[in-house]
Amino acid sequence: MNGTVGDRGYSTVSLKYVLILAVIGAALVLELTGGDDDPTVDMAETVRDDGADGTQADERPVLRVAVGAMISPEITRDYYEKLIELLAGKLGHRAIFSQRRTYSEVNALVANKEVDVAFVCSGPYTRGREEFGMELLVVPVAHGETVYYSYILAHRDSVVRSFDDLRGRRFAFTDPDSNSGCLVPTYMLARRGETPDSFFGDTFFSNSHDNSINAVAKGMADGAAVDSLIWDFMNVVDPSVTGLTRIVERSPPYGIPPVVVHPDLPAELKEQLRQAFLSLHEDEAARGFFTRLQIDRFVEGDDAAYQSVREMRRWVEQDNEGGQ
Amino acid sequence: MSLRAKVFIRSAVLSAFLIGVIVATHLAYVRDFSDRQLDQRYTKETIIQAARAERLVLWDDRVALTGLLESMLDTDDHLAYAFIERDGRPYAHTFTDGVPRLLLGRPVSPTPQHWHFSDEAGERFHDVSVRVGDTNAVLHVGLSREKGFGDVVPLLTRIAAVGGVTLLAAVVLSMLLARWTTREVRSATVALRDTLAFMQTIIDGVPEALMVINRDCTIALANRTVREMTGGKDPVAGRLKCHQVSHQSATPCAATEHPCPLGLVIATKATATVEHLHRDAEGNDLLVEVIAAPIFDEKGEVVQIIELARDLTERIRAEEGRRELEAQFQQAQKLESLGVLASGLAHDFNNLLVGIYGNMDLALMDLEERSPVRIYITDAKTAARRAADLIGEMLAYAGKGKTRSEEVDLHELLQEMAGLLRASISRKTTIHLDLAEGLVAVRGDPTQIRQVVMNIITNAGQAIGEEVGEIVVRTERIECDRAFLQAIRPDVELPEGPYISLQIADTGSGLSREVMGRIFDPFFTTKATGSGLGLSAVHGIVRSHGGAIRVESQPGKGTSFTILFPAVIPLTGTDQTDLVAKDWRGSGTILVVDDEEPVRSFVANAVERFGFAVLTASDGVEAVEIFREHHGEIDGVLLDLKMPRMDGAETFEELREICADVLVILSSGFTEEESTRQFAGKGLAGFIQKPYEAAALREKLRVALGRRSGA
Repeated sequence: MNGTVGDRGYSTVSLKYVLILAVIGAALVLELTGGDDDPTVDMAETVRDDGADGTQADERPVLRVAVGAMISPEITRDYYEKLIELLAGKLGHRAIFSQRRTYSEVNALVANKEVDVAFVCSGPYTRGREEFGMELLVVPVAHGETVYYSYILAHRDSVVRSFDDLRGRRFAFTDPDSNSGCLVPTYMLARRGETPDSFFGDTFFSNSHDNSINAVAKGMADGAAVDSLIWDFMNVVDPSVTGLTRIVERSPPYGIPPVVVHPDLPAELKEQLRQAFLSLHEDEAARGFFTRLQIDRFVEGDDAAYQSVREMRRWVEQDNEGGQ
Repeated sequence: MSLRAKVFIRSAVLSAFLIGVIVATHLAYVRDFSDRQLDQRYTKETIIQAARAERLVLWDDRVALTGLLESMLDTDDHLAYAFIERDGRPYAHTFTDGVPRLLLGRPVSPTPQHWHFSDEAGERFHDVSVRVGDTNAVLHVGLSREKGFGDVVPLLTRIAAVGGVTLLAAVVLSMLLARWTTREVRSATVALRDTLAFMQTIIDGVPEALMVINRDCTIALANRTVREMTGGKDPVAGRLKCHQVSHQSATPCAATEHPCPLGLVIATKATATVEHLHRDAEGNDLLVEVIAAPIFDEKGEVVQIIELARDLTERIRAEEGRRELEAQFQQAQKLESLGVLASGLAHDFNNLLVGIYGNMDLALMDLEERSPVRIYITDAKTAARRAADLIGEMLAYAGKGKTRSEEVDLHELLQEMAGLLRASISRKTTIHLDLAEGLVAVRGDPTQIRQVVMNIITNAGQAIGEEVGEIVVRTERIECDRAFLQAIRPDVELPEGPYISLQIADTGSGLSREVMGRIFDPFFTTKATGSGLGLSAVHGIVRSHGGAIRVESQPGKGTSFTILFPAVIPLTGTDQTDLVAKDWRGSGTILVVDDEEPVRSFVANAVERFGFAVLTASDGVEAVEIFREHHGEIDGVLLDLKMPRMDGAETFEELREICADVLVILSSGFTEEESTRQFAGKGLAGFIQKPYEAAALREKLRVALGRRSGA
């Protein structure tokens, strides 16, 4: 036929399809080849670890505070860091908060003047006092007292009803320098003419009192000696754990774990620190922290309150030397 | 490129494209999936290690932390580095020479952060960072993306291999598809081509212009007639518009007198039949009848129009030709009727005039020369001659008026008339005689032929008027065939043969078509003082001479009359009107046969005076009886042509039956040519046309009897 009837423009449709395919293809190519617009990092341009804590930007003088590992470091940090920052702030300082795995490491920090002030256990205090003249700054008042105890724990469902029932069983100490967690049960055994190795079937160090409580609650240990302040604290914070334990024996009272300083700490700072601690309970924010820590306030301490600890250690050491 | 190649290429390309898309999509998906898996895996791993690192961070035990980080690298080949930063400073790391500066200090969030980067060598890394507990430390783990991607390389390779095999299969299938499609399309194409050719043949067979026109006036389909209108150019391929083909116009027609059928159909959505004015390639207007019908789409809208255009011009021309022919026939019939009337009247009048005229002639013979009565008779005779002239003119108008028949030298006649002709027209008009050499004479009445020439040239001079003009008089001898003669004079079948053409052409104002159709009508004139008989007489004279006349004229371009006279054919017994023997007297007996008593009486008296004995008969029957009885003594017969009971022709036959060489002089009021036509070759001794004088009768007798006695 010489013509087209009803021509609808085939070539236009075909061109449209070609364009669609081209667009899809282009998008696909971009998808496959593109997207690598990552930034480039010069791996040779490095920053060495200079040991700085990265807070040099703050111009204020530093107040370095260490807390002994009486409870696990996470909880310690959670409970102490803000309080210490508050304390440092009162003195116009910025706080650097330090923890160490062991009591002896914290004592070393104080001895080496790597910290200005430290929360230590009663045992390490007596040792530091002897070694480099560690000074007692203030002590907390907990539950109206400046003393604490060593609790001998067993599992709630255990047949252990007394310390003696722990014979031949697995026992958890906290830290070798801990008074309530190590020295007291060792002393109790020494008084019985026993040593941990002779009395217990197996022993281990949990590094902190809350770890020891958890170890008994979970059956990892048949018994443990812990700081009464810590058990009481946990019994309020998480009674489901302490509820699984039973106190089978309580020691006589000992001087409460103090706040200490190096004897060479400038007297002015030392006095400022003491006054700051003693007046902390007057601070609204500090009272909140006190409540959480279950302490009432800080008071002047007396080194004589730790004499019993010194004697216990001496007894144990003599017993050990005698045993050798 | 062949159809098979096209199908193969398109199919293969499309298949390759689709397979490419599928494979690429899968590759991209797998790679993305791998990335996400790695993200999840290393996010968890980093969170776990961050938890493990928290206590070490709190104890500030960098040595243990570094050990932890190194152990991570030792146990996972995909890891490139691990480090812990505190407040944007390196704290513990596995790098040999410090932590890259740009990896430090990135935004910290409680949720794991992911960051992609490349080193200068182009190796890509995935950095996952997690905050270490609630400390200000952030653990970073760097994953080598190439190593992580390596896990899925085998899968990607397999996908690519499957894609390649599929592509190969697609190519093979495309080849098969191309072959099948080509076969199907070829057979379908042949069928379609046949169908289209058949349809094209059908529409080409339509003798009128047939088009399918789009709404924008472009031609979508055209038949052969339309293509011929465009000089063979394909109007569809040329995207011509209908008005370009039908109107030779670049714009659509907007004439209100001839509405555009396209617009009508679009407006009314119905078939329209209109008369429309088209224009052909030479610029001639053509009146066409257009039938236009709509083609609807599925929505009922007019999308195209079928248009059939029938050229009415030829039909109108044929109609005009038929009307012209009818007019010619009517003219011929009119003239014929007039001729019959005129000839009837002439016959009767001539018979009466023979009695009047002849008896007055005889009376004058008997009267004394000094008789006072002679003057009255002479006046009466003059009046009778005028009456005879009147009859003659009437016969001339009717084409039956030729009273003389002799050889006329047309050139001599024209040259004789030249002076008179020039005197009758304006001095600004010249007459040019273009006479052929060796022209033979025509047979006819020279007076009437002069009248013809004079009438036409007078009219030509009047058409030129006072303008400068020219009249050309041209003669030539031509051979005319039947068709030529039939075209010029359709009412009579003129004999083929040589004719003398006399053409008189002027440069005057010309004639309109209307005037041309009526110029030979009696009493039709365009002049204020004309009688309207001039050209009628010309027409009649030409017809009576066995000729034909043709007129060609265009307004403003002059008029040309062409007159054909039969070339001369010698007649037997040519009259020699020699009247020298006034006193001739004969002897013997003459039988006078005429149904008119006055004629019979006059002739009898005259013949007796010429010395003959006279027998009379009042009709043919009586004449035959007398002749049978007295044929031995009868020397000649004066025989009237038109008589009751038995006319002259029958009587002549009867007389010849009795006596084969009977001498018969025919007498009639009709012309010699018309009267003697049926006696041709039968030995007619002579003819005398009524009315005639006694002397003429004596001359006829003398010549006829003298020829007999001479023979």
